[in-house]
Amino acid sequence: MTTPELTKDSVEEILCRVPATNLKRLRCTCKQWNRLFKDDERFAREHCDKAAKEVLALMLTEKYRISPMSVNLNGDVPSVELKSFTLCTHEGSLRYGSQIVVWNPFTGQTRWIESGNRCKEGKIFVLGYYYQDKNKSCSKSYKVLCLSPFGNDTEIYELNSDSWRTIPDGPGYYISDSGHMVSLKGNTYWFAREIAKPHLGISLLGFDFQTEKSSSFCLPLPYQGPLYEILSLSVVREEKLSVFIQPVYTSKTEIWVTSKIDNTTTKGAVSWTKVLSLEKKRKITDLQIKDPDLQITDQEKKIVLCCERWMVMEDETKSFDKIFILGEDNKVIEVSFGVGITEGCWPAILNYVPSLARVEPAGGKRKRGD
Amino acid sequence: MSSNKIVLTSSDGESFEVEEVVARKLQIVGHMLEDDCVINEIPLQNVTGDILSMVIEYCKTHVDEEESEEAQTKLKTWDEEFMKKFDIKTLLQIILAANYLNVKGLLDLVSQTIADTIKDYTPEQIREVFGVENDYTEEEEAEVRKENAWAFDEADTPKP
Repeated sequence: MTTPELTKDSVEEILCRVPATNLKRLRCTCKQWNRLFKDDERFAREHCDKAAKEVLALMLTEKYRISPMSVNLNGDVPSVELKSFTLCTHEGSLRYGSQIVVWNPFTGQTRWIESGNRCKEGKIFVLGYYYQDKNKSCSKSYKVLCLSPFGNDTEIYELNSDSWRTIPDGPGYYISDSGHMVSLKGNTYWFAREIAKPHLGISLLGFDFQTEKSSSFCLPLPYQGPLYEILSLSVVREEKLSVFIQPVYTSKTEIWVTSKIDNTTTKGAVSWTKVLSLEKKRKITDLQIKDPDLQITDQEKKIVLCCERWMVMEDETKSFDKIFILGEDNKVIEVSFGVGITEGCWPAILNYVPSLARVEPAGGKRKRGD
Repeated sequence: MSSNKIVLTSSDGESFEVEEVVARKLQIVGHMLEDDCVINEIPLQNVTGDILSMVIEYCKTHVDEEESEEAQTKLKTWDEEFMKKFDIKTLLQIILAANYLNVKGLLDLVSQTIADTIKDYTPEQIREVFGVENDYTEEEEAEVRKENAWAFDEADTPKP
C-alpha cells in the first residue's frame, strides 16, 4: 500500500488532537506544521477545543525562574481546562521602569505592559480571561487586574485596548494573603477580610473578569468564623478549589475541596468535602493538590504537593528548597534541592496547562483600521 | 423505505449492496439521493474497495445511534476494537475516505486514533509515514529544535 497524500484539512484534523507538548516536538516535521503551531489562530482554537489537556507543574524558584517540574506518581495527571499564561514580574522590572510581562512559556510569546508606579506601590497583578463569545469555548479575551492589598484603586488592563482604566472598588474587602491567589477558568480567587466586619474572619473572594465584579463570588468556607488558620489555596485539576486549613482545636491539618466551579456556578451551589487530614508535623507554606479523575478510575488517590524553603542555621543567607509529596495515612515523600543563596522570591508550585493560546500583540486591534 | 437497497461501487470496480439508511451515513451519498431520488447505483471514484468495505462496516454499526448511556458505551468499545485492526498506513487511507465520503463520526474517530498513534513519533518517522518532505535547511531545523527545549533557562526568560 502506498502512502496516501493527505489534504491540508486532514492533517489539521489529526494535529489538532495531538496533545500540546507532543505537538511542539512535531513542529520540526516541515514548515507547514510549524506554521500551524506558531501563527495559526484558527488552528490554535481547534486545538484548544479538541486536544486532550495536560497539566504541568511548574516551580517558581529563586531569582524568579520558572522550571517545569516532573512528578511521576503512577502515570498521568489528567486535566480539564486550561490556564495558559504565566504572569510574572521580571526581576528587573523596577529597573526597567516597571513593566510587567504576559508570557505564554509554551509558545514563547510575550507581551510587555507599562505599569507605571504600580509595582513600587506594592500592587498585585493578576491575569484572567473571559469568553467574548459564549458559544465558542476558545474565543478568550485576556485582562490584567491590578489590585491594592487594601481593596482600593482597582484597575484593569485589557490586552486588546493597550490602556489602564479604573474600575469601581470591590465590596469593601482587603486582601488577606496575596501569596495565595489562584486562577480558575479565567477567574481569580483569593482570601479577603471584610473591612467593616473583620471579626467574621476570612472569606474566599472571586473576581469575575467578564463582569469585572467580585461580590457575586464570595464563597463560604468549610468552617464559619475565625477558628482556624488558613495555610493555602490551590486549584485542583482546573475545575475545583481547595483550601489547606488548620482548625484551632485539633492536632490535624485538613484539606477541603469544593465541588466543580464554572462561570455559571452560584454562591449557594458550592459545597466542600474534606479529602485529607494529616497529623500536624510541620508548617507547610505552599501546596497543590493532585486528585486524579474519579470518573476514570475508582481508585481515588489523593496526593498533595507542597514546597518549602529551609534556612541554613549557620548562615542565613543560604537556604534550600524542599518538595513534599503527601498522601493518605500521613505518608510523606521528601525531595530536597541543593543549598542556594537566599534571594528573590519564595518557592511556589504553579499549575500550568500548555496551550497554543496567543498573546494579543500590542496595538493589535488598532492596526486593522490603519 | 429502509429496505431500499443502494449499490456503492469503488474506484477499483468492487460493488457493495447496502441498505439506504446505511448509505445515507455517507453524506456524499445522502446529497446525491436528495438531488435525484431514483439513483440506486453510485460510483465512488476516490476510494478503493478494501477501504470502502471498512467504511461501510463502520456505518452499519452506527446506523441507529441510540442516546442511552449503555448503547453509547457499547459503541465506544466497538470503535476502539475496530480501530485496533488497522496499521498507520491504513488509518491514513481511512481518514482520506472519511473526508471524501463525509462520514463525520468516522472522521473524528480516525483522526483521534492517528493523533494518539503519532504523538510519540519522531519528526523523521512522521515524514516517512506521512510522505512529508523536510523543507527546512539544516540551520532552520536546528533553530526550531532549539526553540523546543522545554527548559526555562535564564536565556528563555522574557526580557524587555
